[in-house]
Amino acid sequence: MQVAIIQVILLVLIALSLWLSLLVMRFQMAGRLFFLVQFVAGAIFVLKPEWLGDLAQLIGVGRGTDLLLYILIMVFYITGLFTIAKFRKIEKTHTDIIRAMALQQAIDNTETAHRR
Amino acid sequence: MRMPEQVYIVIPSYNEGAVLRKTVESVLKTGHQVVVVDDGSRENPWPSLNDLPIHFVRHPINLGQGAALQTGMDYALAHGATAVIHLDADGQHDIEAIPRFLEALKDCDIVLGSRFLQRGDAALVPRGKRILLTFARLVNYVFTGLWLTDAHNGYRCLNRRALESIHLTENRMAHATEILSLAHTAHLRIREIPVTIHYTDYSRAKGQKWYNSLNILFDLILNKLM
Repeated sequence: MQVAIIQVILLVLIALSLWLSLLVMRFQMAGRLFFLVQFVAGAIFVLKPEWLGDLAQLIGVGRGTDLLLYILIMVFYITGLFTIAKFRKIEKTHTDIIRAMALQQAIDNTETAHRR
Repeated sequence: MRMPEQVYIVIPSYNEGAVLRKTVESVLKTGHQVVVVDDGSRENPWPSLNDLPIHFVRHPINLGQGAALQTGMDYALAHGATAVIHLDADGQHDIEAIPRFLEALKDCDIVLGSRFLQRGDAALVPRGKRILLTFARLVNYVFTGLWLTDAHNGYRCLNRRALESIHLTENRMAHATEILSLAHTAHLRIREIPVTIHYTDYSRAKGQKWYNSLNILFDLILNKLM
């Protein structure tokens, strides 16, 4: 079997990101499994691109490249939405902390200052 | 036993400068409690206010007007407020309207100021703003089911029941619609009264740019979704 340079590059990158994701997800078994399955699938399709074409045909998409594009768009959108949701959650926590700090340091000057 | 009336006037401020003190001084004449919530202005306004009998809360960083109002309401609630009035720091809200707000609050939970209940008030609103506000009223209707005569008027009054059931999570300007939405869900009684808004060069310069309404809309949609 002849291996193209691009396949080597992709495999190395896949291995690197797999290693990174397993590190990040150290305590989340489900997360690790999710990434593991993805990267294994990625590696298989890098080595056997024609299998992707077969899979596309099987589910009614013309070419493997198109199937990949569709999946990519969906993943992109879903990731975007999750990021926004996460961001809003963080913003709420952040607001609560700032508010608690502000209220703790509130100044009641009604007694001190002279009422005119 | 009926509690004595404790009205807290919440003034959110962000980089207001000299006009803030002027507004605070005129509000103090009403005899009500005044809470200035500084929303992380570049320069802390406290040194220019510290001789006034007010309450002062400051966000260490800027969060947005909605967040500042909620902080002010939290403060007022904790200090036993029976009513809270939201008032802009830039002096465009007519202090004379405060007694009318409190009077109207007797038979409802939230009183909203409207620039469109009296012919003369509406004429003061710049035309571009009027068109935008019609659109904003429509947005409010879609999101809250309330068809009001005005939208995004920052002059409003809430009683204790409203304060207890409303917690703003929209930190920026979408809070104006969020208040209506929360009030609607909590079955609070809402009333509108006419108010005059004095557009000065300062308030015009400081005011919202039209394109920010797109940000508000985006915030509202997100709030509905998640």
